[in-house]
Amino acid sequence: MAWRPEDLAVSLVRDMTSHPVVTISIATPIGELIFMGEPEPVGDTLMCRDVHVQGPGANSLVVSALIGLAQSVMRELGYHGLVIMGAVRTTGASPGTRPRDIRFTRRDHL
Amino acid sequence: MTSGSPAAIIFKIPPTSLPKTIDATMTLARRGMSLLKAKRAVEASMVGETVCVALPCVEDVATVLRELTAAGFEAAETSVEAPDVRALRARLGLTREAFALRYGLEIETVRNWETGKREPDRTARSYLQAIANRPDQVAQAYGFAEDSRGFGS
Repeated sequence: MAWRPEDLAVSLVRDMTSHPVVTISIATPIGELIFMGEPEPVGDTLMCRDVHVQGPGANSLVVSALIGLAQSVMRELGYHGLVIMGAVRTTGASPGTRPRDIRFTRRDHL
Repeated sequence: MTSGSPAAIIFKIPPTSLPKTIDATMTLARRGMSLLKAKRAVEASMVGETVCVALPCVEDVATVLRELTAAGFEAAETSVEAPDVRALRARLGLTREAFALRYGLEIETVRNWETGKREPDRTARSYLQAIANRPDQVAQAYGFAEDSRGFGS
């Protein structure tokens, strides 16, 4: 089930943010998720390269939850598209491989 | 981190580990490494590399190693101190001449290190440390090139 925006609180981790690396913390119903990546705006889309995710446990972030997170981040930051280009997997499916890009489009009705 | 000494740390991700890469990046960055360099170092370890980093400002090496271990990494300090050459040679059961021949060193140089007349420079210390850690592999690497026609060829 996708998380609703009111379930989430996004905050910047200032002491772990230094150009071009940005770290954000998201409080979610399952606990704190930390994302570290290298975002770059391309038009109204935010391209996030080499993204690392750390959560309460391996595989704690399912795709449906990621959709809700992405909508919140786009709304919070004012983008209409978000592309997550992950770093090499260390857990989950096929460790050692680079996952495919994940693209999100903002849906304001959510 | 505002005070501390430089230290060199070597780390890798063990095969069965579920590493916390952000925690590891933070551990390195808090010891004076740029955040981007720390991230890149951790990313290199994610593709199977053993990574060596120079941390400018380490308050306590044991703390850094503990944090990296807690993040699922295998880590150690890379020592640049010279091993005790006489003790190393004794451990390997080699005469001074045999030690020098085996590792491509001058006998006089080995004698000078052992008697304290000279100190090995940094390059020599690293070489001696490699000998101390992997004596057989270093001897093979020194003695036989990849394409050498040695025994049985």
